[in-house]
Amino acid sequence: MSDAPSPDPVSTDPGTSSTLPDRLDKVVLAVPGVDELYSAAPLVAAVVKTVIATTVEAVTGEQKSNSSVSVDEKKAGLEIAVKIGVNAPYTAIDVSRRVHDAITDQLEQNGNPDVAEIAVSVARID
Amino acid sequence: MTSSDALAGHTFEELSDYLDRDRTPADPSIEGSPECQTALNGMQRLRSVHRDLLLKDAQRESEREDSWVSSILQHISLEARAGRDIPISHSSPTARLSVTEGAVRGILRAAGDSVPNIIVGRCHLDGDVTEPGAPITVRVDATVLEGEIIASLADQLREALYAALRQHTELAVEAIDITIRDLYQPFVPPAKASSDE
Repeated sequence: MSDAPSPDPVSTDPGTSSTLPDRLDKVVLAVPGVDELYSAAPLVAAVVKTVIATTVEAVTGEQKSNSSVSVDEKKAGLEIAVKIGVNAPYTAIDVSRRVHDAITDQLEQNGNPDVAEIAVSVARID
Repeated sequence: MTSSDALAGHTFEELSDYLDRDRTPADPSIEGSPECQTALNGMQRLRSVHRDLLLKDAQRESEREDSWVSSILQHISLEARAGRDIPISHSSPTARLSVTEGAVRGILRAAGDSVPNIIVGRCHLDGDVTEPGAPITVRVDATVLEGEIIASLADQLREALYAALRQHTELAVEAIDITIRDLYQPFVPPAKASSDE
């Protein structure tokens, strides 16, 4: 049995500067039919988060994560929330399922943590 | 529109002004809100398809208290609110997939705008859309070009709405009720004076 600690699924990945939410942002945006990724947090909180991230980066040069996908660690496992816009002629049904499956694949590559819920909300269809 | 009706803190008038300014300078609180984007797209579509009618209606708005254009624009904005979550099925027990009621009303309006000579006003989903398989009735108000055959246009609209719902939702649609609330007159451009005169 290995003594190596299992990777923390949410924190920064060793060797890269990206966190799991950052990586999930990229994974979701790469799904065909996703044309917009909105903050899964309420809008006011999202705007405040963006302002803080921009200010910290300007003052310290340190890059703050400004991911749209929300990842919460709960007792039962990770709770992941995504809010997307879908580009017709793709269908909301197919795209939301593909987004869910793409997140599952990414989590498997990230140590396969326990997952309590993956919520994908289609908030706009164009 | 009251402040409680505002989308992401923005009133209908603010969104309309933002559109007038060609969405510049970009406002993150509007561009980052799917509800605002749905409302802006609906308003933009109505403006581009019915620009002449909008001008005509605006000119006589002072003579009519029940301007149908004002009413439609108000509905676009009100109905873009996220509303209820409409579930989408998935085999995984941890999946919770949904499409918002606001997004569905947006596609209903877009589908309606694809049918010529009919303009969709109010869209409403009656029934428990949050419960998979629950029977739903869609109620739509519309305005039709004077002289058109109303029954035929209503059939075309109903077919377009069914197709949009089938494409993007798993709703069990029992009926689509369409009420024609008003007729609009064809726009006749004013005769230009000849430049030779």
